[in-house]
Amino acid sequence: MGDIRRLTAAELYRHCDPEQFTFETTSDLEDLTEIIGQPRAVTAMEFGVGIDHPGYNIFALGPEGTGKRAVVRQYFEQQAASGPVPHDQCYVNNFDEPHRPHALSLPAGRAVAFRADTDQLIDALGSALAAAFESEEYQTRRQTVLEELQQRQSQAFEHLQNEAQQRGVALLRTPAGLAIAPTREGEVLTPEQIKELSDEERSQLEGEVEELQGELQKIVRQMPAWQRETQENLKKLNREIATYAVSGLIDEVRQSYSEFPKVVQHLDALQQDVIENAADFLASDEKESGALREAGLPGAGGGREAALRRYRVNVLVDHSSSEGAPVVYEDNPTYQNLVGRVEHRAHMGTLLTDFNLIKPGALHRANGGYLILDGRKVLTQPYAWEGLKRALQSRQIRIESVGQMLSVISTVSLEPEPIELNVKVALCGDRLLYYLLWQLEPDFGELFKVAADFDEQMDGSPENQQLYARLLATLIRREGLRPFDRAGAARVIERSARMVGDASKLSTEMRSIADLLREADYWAGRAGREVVSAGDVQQAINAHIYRSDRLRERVQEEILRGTLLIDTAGERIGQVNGLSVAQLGGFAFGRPSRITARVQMGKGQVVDIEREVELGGPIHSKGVLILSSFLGARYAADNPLSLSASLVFEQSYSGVEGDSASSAELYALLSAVADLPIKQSLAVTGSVNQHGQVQAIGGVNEKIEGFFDLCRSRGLNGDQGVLIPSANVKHLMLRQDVVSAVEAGEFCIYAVDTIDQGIEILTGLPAGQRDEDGNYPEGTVNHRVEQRLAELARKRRAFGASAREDRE
Amino acid sequence: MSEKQEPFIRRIVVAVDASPHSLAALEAAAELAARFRAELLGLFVEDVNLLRLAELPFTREVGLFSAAGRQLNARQIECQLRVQARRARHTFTTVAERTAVQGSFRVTRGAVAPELLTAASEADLIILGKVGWSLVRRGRLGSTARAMAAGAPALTLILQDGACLGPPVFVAYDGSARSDRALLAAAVLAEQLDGRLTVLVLGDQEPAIARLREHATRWLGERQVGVEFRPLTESNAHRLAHLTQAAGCGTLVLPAESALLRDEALLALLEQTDIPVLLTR
Repeated sequence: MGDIRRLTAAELYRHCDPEQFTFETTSDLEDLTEIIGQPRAVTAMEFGVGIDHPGYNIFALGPEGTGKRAVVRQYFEQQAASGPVPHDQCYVNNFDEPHRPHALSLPAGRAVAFRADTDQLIDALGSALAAAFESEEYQTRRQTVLEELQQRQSQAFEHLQNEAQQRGVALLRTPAGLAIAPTREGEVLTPEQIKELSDEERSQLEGEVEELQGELQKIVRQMPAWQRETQENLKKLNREIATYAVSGLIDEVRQSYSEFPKVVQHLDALQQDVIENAADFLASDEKESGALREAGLPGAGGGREAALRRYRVNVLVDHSSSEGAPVVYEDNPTYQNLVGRVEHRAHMGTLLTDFNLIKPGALHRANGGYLILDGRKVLTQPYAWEGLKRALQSRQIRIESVGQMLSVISTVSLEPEPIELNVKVALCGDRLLYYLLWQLEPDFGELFKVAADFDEQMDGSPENQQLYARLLATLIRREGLRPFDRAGAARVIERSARMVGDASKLSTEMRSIADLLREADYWAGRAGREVVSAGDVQQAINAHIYRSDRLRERVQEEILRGTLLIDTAGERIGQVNGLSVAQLGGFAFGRPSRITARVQMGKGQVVDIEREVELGGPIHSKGVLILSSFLGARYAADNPLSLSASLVFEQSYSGVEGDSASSAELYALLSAVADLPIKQSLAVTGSVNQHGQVQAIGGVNEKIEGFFDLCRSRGLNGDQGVLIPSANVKHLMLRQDVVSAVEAGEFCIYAVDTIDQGIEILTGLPAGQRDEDGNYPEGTVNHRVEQRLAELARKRRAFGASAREDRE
Repeated sequence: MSEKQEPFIRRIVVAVDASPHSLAALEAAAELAARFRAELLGLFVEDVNLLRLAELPFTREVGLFSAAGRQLNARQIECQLRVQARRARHTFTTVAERTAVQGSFRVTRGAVAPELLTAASEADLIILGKVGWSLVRRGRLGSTARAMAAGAPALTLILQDGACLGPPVFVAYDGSARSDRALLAAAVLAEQLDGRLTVLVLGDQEPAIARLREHATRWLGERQVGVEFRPLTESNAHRLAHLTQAAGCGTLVLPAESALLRDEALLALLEQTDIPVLLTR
């Protein structure tokens, strides 16, 4: 068995030596542009940004506050600065199928120009068409066409009238039509006058009337055809005039966009539509009611405004002032904010829309560049993940409303032409999210091939400490804080190590570090100092603890008042002080617990009372099973383990989890078996394995401090102390008061490797090792344990024999 | 020189039937009645010819749109005429109320032209639309208008479809007694409109024209009109129609039965022009 190690003050805290720094205050330091402490993530980012293949999107995983988003943004921006500016995007009307607007892509800056050109064109078209249709040429030709119809009709009627006149009859207008009437001197013959005619005359007259009626019917029947022909001719004329008026104007625009076939195609369609609907340009706005004009909706009456809307250009993404590729962070990644949406306007109780109401989403804005999203937000927004996934898979942005996607809404809607998508997406999220997605989302691995794993800690080497100081200086400057002096910066670095609970590491969770810097600056300001010192940092730490430690104080108070029974002096059999850690929000504190063990004769059972009442978690139960196995294997290898022991966390009313108390439980059990008292001035932490080795546990600093606080309240006497696993020594970053007490010999911390070491400290007796015969020397703890167990076995056998005899 | 008697307009007769022309005539009549504070009489004539037609066994009515031949019957025609009359009365009342003109509406039965002539004999001004229906070429004068132009005893205003009475007023003048009266009527009308009067003086020789001009000026006396003289080298329908159209004439005043335009020439002018024409006696 090795020597018991009583730790020195130097081992309890790893100082960051201010003298290693050459600066006076942090304002002497240059900004740190490189990223420190994240070599893996940085490599992944370099790779992810550099590789240009679909699916190589990035998932930046790591705890909150490690600067994932900032790093991702930095890499994206670096890469984007040298990237090409992507094309502008716009939507224009599809004149053949208005519900499927066409997407146009133009070089950066050209979309806005195209929109302006189009607006100007529409204005020009309006005046050109008005001029054309008011021109003498048009009016004359139109008059001619109408005149032709008139002439045709009147010729026919005149002819008929003349014919009638010659035959002594007349064409008369009746209330509902026309009639042929026999007349004499301008007056229709009366029936009497007819009667006076001879039969021959009458039948001739009747015949003529009938014949002319037939003629008349023929003419009237032809009239619709003539009218149709006239309408056709008018349309033809209108088209001809409109073509003449607009083609020159549109040609001009067409020429300036001749290198874009889709734009030319659109302008062709626009020209055709303008020609077909020239009347829209001529309709005066006064005809439209005010309300309709305000609504400015298509089909609201075909006025000028509506016509303008139809020909307009809806610029979705304008890169006229962009430099390099875009980097977009979407703070609120709803489905619509990602893939864009089609808005509707209420009009007389219905919802109407057109291509002008298509609005871009983050994918549109980031297209050709980079998009940063918060993974959790994407997943919590309904359908956002589905939308993002589909866009990345199809490499197209298809704007569809959620209602449309689910087929629950059947209002007038659009199916805009999909836009080609070329974007690199970075999702930021915690590790659990990443692993869950991997496990549960089959498409995830295909779409996010690059994992940038951000570590929450980094190596605390002297070189890194120098860099860390520069990082602090950068943060201080960025936040506009007072400069920190050397000792202040060193204190922050020490605190950083404490945050990760490891003396040789530093925290990369810069959010908490920045909080500390701000708070220290506040205290320095309160004290009227221009430079933040170590004292201010310490005050910030203390104040933060004080703000958070109400519960810790209450627990301490109850222990001191004797409500919670914890002894810190004297000796007790089967009773040991264990240590647990309570984590509340961002604050953790250690709390001593009394662990007791009782033994009696039995069948080799160690009863974990916590487990029996389902207050103990599986890891705790595992620890208990391990220690009972150790007990049986070591002391009762040849005899049946004939005891029944029970273990309990006294005054614990909530769940117990973790195996960090298993060594303490074993000590209590050994004490109970050997009937040896344990010093109550000591507390124990550490887990144990089947061979009796003590293993590392978490929260070692908080545990020590928890017991120290209690002892100090009761008065330090030099006997008090804590047993910790040796493996935990490197994690020690204890509070200054603890370190001072140890230095003064008022408190001690033992690093133990084995149960034997621990029991020696706790009982003051040697643990004892087997001699050549395999026996433990007398007067040792192990000997007493073995003896007691052997005695129990004997008694059990005797008890068993007498029981048999009794039965017989 | 004839007696210088101002043409007082106290009673205006307007022929109202179901056609759009007559509606324009009605509007113009109401406006004039309002200006002259005259009484307005709307007249609807139930054409006796139609009733007779219905009694003939062998005549058929041909629908204007359906082209179907229908047997006419007197009861039906009467009923249709009543409906038209009621509609005409409604229109008349509406217009009269709107323009705050004192008016009455009368329905008579008979041949249209004689009935109108009878009504005209009790009135100072008779107003009618140029054609009764639109199947015949524009400009063609309806039989009623033709008869009125030829024989109405009072001032007769003939309106083309859609045209309304407006400035500037033109008058043809040859120095005859009839044209003096026309000049005076034109001046009265011009005063009511924009105060401008263009006198087309007939003649191609300067001294003669100057004499006529002087005569006209004297005849107009103190009337509050701005007079402009224009020469009219020859007086025929075509020349007048062209000149007035080109000069942007609003209303043309012509003496009927004068040497300026003989009957047939006057009818030809009425057929050619789109401008409202006021015939004076």
